[in-house]
Amino acid sequence: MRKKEMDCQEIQELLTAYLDGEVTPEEKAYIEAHLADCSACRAELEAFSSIQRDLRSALTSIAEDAAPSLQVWEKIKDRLEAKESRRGFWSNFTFGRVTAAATAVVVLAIAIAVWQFGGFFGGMSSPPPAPISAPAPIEVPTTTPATPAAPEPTPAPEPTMPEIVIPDIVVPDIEVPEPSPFKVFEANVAPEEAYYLPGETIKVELSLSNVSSEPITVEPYPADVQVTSTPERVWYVTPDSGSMSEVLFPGDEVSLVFTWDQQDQEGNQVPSGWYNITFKDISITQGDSRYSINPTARVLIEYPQGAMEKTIELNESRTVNSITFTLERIELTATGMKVYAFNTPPDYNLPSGQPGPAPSLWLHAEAEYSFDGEVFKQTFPSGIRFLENGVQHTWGEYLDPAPKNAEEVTFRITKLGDWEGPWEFTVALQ
Amino acid sequence: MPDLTEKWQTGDTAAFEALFRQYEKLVYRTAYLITGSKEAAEDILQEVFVSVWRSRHTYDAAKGKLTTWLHRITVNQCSRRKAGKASLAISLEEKGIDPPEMKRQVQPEEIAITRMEYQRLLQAMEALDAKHRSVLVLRYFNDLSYQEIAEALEIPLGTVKSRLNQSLKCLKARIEPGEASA
Repeated sequence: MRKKEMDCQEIQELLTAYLDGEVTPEEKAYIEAHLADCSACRAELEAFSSIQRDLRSALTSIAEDAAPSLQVWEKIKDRLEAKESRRGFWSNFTFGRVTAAATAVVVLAIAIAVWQFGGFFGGMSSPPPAPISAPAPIEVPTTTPATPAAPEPTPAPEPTMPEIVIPDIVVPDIEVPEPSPFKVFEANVAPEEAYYLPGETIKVELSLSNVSSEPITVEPYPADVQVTSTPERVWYVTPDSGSMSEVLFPGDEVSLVFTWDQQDQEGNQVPSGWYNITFKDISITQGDSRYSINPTARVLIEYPQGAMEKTIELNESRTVNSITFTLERIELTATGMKVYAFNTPPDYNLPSGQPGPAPSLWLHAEAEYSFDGEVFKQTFPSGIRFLENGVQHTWGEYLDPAPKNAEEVTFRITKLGDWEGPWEFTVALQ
Repeated sequence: MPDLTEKWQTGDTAAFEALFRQYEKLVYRTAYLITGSKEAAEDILQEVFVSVWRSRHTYDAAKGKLTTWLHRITVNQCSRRKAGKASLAISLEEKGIDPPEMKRQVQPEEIAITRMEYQRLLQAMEALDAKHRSVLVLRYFNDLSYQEIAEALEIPLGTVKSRLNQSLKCLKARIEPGEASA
């Protein structure tokens, strides 16, 4: 009797796989022998079979006239355009070098500089083509729309720094600036964001073009390139390339290619994670106007063992100096970690009809994190969203992914405005 | 289209749009059946293709089928969402359909019974979490083999088997309440 019960239980565990043709020949023989003289299991088989059949029909029937709206593609396009505007997502896929159509009068200066590890090789014979950049021009800031892509005159703007998200309600969608008659030059890095395996050669190209009707001077040329891990740790800097400058006549474009073999200044492979590759402090002058830019590409060096992908719901709270932070959720994907936390600052209230509380309460939180006790990495200040009863903080821009085999992550909120923490959370990942 | 993959991976936007057109319904419907919400499915479709574009460099055709990769991203996106109130059963009711396999002449009451059975089944699915709903949808809607499901979800084959079996048991218990306590 006991034997038979065990058999039935075992058999019933296998019935779905049996019906799906997903059992081994031995299992199949075993199941069929059992079914021949067990009416209870035959009934169970019949029930499962009927559910499978109905489920297939029900799912097919309901899915068959469900279709996405026509706007989805437009929305995807918009998002990718906003993200990749600096290299012109949709309009620049006819590759080629800009040649000033104008002819003999204009001196066409196309200069290519390749740095490789400190060496600087001029005039590489066939450089990769530079995208012809269309949107996101750097403009003379006469009327300045407050978009992240629009630079300020001086001091040096950093056009590709991640935006700090002030509440969604007051931030307009990022718009690609319209080409303007005041446009002076265009600067594009490509790829703006890319993923590599450890040891792979990383290549980033900066193209600069003069789109005005007067010459511009670019210096230093070639610019220094700095590799940092988010946000401040410097891993590699090209040696000082002096104070040369380059004049670009109207229509000219120059292209700089930086290649990096993922080694730090001492020749060691850098750890996996996100890196910024910045063409530092490029100064562009035309007449009395001077602009300073730091075009930046972001690269992710992946873990050899792969990244962990999961979402962990936490809702754990820590109180330090009477301020409580609740760590709500950690989302881990192949390309990074996103952390959500919640806090109600003292005297917080959200006046109705206002986009947010008093500006003194627009406080971003600073944080750092570490997987398995490795060195802590600092985050950018949190993005904030004002809710009825408090503020949701999000850290999602370029936090490293978790290694697939990581045991735990420590997330430490160090500061909220002038309030010192730390509010520290250690979260098991396995 | 052998060239499609290579082209969109190198950043060709026309090829990427073609890729989207080819797979949008697959992704949308899978997401819809897992989440039970058309609205969520549309958001997920967006997220999936934005993610495909951004991580295009990481996809390696030699390591697995494109659809497997798409299913993985889709299911990950679905499991990031909290279960909503939307219900497939309600959609079925709105649709007022004849079940597709009923080609023969059927009596109206027979259709009504079948539709009711479907509704109970879909309602029962709501009791399952996203992990279990995902394997059900990949198996009984997308018709993936157990091995393909294991690859798409990066879980062991044994887990696929047990999740499917548990899911069917749960559905059975819920549509036959009399036997649920047995």
